[in-house]
Amino acid sequence: MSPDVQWKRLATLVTIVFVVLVASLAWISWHRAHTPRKVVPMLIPGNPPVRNPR
Amino acid sequence: MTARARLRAVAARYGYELSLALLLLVVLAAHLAISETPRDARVFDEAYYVPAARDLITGIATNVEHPPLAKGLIALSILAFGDRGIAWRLPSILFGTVAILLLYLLTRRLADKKTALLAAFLLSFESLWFVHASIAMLDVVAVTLGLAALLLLVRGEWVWTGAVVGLAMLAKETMAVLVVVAAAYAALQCPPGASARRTAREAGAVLFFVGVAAFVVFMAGLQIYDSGYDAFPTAFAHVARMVRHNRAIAAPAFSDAVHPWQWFSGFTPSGYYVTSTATGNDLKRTYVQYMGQPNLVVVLLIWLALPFSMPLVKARDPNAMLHVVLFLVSWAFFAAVAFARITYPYYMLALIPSLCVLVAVFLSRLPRAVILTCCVGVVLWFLAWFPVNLLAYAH
Repeated sequence: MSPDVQWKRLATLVTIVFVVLVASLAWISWHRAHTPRKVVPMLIPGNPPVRNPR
Repeated sequence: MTARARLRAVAARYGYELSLALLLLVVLAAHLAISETPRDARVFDEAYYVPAARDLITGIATNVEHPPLAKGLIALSILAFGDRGIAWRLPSILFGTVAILLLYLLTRRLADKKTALLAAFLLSFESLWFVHASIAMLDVVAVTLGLAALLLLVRGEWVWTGAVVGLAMLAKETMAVLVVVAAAYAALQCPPGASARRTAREAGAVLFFVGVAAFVVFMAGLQIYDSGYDAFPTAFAHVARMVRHNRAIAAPAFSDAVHPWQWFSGFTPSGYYVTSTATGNDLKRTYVQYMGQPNLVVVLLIWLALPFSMPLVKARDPNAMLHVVLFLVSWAFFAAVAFARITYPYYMLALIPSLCVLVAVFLSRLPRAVILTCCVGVVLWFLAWFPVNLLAYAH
């Protein structure tokens, strides 16, 4: 196949990949914004949390 | 026309296709029959990839030294069929079976139906391929996508070839070697007497289009994973981590590993799944199953098939050119890697489909009785080294 056809194919592929990539990143951002995050208590060195308060 | 004559006419017209369909059914049935043995235990590197697939489901990034596509397929299978043996192994089973069909189509296009069926037969009963197509690992998925890419390459679709090579690389990064294979194949395809400049231009064009398309798909796929799982800020950082991981693995002493030099001459096989049972009177019996060993009836024939292929390469036979290039370039790649880090014998899976085609080309020129004898030998070896030993489950 001629290089001209290959350039057109490459442009098509890059467009498809770009759309998929942007759509995926947008969906990931939207999903993060609408999902409550788990709060992880920070461990301070030298001050370990009490595991069993009893 | 009588029913018998009609049957004969159908067999004469579709004999190869019907034989291939039967072959695919037998292989698929054999895979499915053992897909739950073991049901809850993991075979070989399933120990890494099944937990990695579970982590994908729960949103944790692990096993980042390999790209995520094959593990993602295992994760999807677990979501669909539950967390059990058959679900872990289903992607490998399906891809391993589809590879036989793709190899048939590729060889039929470049050679003839007889060679194509013989190559498909050899791949079906190649023990190492069957074992790896029966367990949840990355290699069979990657090599099957590589075969799909070759099918596009021989149609002259360089960009789509690169796109599928990118997908194969997302299953296992070593499939990047196919970009070099595509360029070398293009260089060999130049007519005899073509100038070095023209050859370099042809090879360069294929290298560019296949390489860029593969790079774009691979990096985009990696970026989606990295962003979705908060694994790395960019796909480039992920690739750097993969390189660091591989550089940290040392090359063992020559005598301590199976070097690529030994792949085609037989080596001590490793047992992928070892169990032991008490048989009474304090006797313990150990069962070694799923051996990491190729079918030597097929593999040893490469020592005849490869020299036999050289005149065909010289005569510009496209089938011989493609598979000799793939075989030699892939082997040289792993032989070079072996100086820097350990290589495992199952890396030869990338070469196995080409090996089957080259052996099929060699065998197809021999008398029918010789072909049949070889085929019986291939099946006997396959059965003798069948991955599952039913005795292990008798207690």
